[in-house]
Amino acid sequence: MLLVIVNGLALGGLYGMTALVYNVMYSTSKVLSFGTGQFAMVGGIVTAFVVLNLHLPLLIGLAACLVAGGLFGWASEWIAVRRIVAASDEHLWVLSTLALSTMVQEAMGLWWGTDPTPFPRLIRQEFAGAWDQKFWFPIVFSVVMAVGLELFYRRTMTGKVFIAMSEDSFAARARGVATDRMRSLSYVIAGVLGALSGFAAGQLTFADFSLGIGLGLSGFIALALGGIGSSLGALVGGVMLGMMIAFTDHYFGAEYQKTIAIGLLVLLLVVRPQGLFGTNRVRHV
Amino acid sequence: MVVRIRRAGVSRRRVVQGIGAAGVVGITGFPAIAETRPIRFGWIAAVTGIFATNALAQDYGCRMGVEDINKAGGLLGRQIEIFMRDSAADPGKAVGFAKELVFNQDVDVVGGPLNSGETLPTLNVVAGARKLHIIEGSIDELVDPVKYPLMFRGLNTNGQWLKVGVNFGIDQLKKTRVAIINDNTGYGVLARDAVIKVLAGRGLKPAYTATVDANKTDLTDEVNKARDAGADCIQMWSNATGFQARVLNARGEQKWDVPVVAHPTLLQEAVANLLTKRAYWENAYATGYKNALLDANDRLPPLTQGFLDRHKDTAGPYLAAGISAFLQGNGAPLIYAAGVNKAGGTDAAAIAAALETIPVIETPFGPFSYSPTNHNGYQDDGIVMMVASSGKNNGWRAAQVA
Repeated sequence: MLLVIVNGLALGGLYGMTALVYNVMYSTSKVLSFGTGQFAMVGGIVTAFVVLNLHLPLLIGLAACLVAGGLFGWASEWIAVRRIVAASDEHLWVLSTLALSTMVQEAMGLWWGTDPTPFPRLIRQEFAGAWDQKFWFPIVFSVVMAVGLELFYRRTMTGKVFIAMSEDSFAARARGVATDRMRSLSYVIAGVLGALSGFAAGQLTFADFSLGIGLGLSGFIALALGGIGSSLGALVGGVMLGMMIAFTDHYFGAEYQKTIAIGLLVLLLVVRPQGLFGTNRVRHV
Repeated sequence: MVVRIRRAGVSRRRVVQGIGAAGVVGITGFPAIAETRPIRFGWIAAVTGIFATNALAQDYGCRMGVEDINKAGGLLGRQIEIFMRDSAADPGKAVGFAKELVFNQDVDVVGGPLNSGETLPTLNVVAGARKLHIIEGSIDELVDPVKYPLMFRGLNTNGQWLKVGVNFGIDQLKKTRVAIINDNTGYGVLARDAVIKVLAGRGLKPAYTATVDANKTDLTDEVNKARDAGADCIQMWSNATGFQARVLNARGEQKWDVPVVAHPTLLQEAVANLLTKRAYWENAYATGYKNALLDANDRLPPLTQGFLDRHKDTAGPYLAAGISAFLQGNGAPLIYAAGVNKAGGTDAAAIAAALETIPVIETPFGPFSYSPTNHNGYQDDGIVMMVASSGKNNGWRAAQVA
């Protein structure tokens, strides 16, 4: 049973990190990018390539992973968001982010191959059951990421600008904030964090080109559960979803796993549309 | 009527001559020019997408099969031209390409698609155009000689794999408390039901069954539950390398040396690469093919070795999927060639009738024998059990338990 719980927590940590990445991009652009799960996929594959194929040290692998994530994040904003958001109030970013996500996945599949490949062990350790690093890295990283983001939002000027933009982008611009540059920066940060989640959970997921779409969906469910905009909510939503999946698997089998996960989302959206930690915004007219 | 013909510049005499010529052609058959054009071989292979590793090898095997035939002078003096379409593992694309091949390109035969999920929706398209169809999907239910008289299977059936695998566990390993762990794809669920059926035929019930998400990140829970249920053998049915590796990792990490019997994917190095320790690949057996068995001198059978020797300069990159995938694709043009040679032409019905009467078609992939009531063809004795970790020189050792 301990393994079931730890596995659920690890999955929840990965989903929570993905939800946090959604939040970072949403704060400055009001876009829920369909490419969010692909950051982890790119991070995992780049790390595996640098460490296992090029035989370079793990730290260089980590650096390459973060750089690749940041570049992908920046490109996402530049290609799939900036002009689309500026040109239309409709939610056309759904199509543009989905298209970019699909293109990146196909490109990685062509380059890396379609079979999952190994991911390096991050520290020297024999397999240690429930205490194995493959479970604990995503759990620890998710907590550190959530705390770090909260500190970033509260203690840094850039973080405060992100919050200002999330509340009223036009007012922020009127007060002299370079909103385009801030949005671009937020996507770079999101890309770095997303790639980091792929690094943390790589031993669980392997380096797999098909990871992104499923992870993006699970991360979105975690985000909706916890409430869009809340770091704590993202983490709690991720853990709830991960534990729900682990226990459903354990007691009922995987046939019901997706039904229960999606059912949970629908139920929550009906009962509490703003999520567990979200707030209802009142628009003054 | 007369006025219209004259306006078009055609005289009454030319019309009469034309009708006469058409009559002659109708009586004697097509003019010689139609018999010298290349034979058009439609080929649907998902060389991108989730099945790409296997499909690339199968595609290469097909192209080399056609190359061998063309180098030997072609079929009835005609070269074969491949019309290859990449369906990207998308059934919708497979159907679109099947339509394009049979109606627009007017191919003489369609080979593929290379998996059951894509094959199923293409059956009616190819049958509706009355074209010969050599399918490469393994699900038993695809073949129906009454409904699709021009369709033949160029592969073994899934049932043949399962039967050999389950019987190996019972008869050779002497294990009767079987745990079935399969993924939740259509293939995995069908395989689970088929294993249960084969076990029932031997008077047994599974000790434990688990249908698991193919991408589930850790399978320790399922492996522990199988052990708690008293299982003494795991039948693992999934063609996903990650899934198979996770079962073996969980088994190894739990220090439970229970034998695992599985789908041929287990033979691939791609599975071993995902294992925490390579030793976890031991005590694992997969269904395979007699024509990929190594002899005492680590040599493959002559037909297989001959194929590899002929194509040794280009085959390298495609061997990652295992030689069986390679030879599967090679079978389709060879089966078609046998039918054309026996029929003496490319008429689909005549080739079908010919294939049903050829006693055995020997291919590097294995022997095929069709009849009017059986279009499956692949012979049971072509399937053997192999030691998963014994791969060497593109072949494997037979699983022989003392």
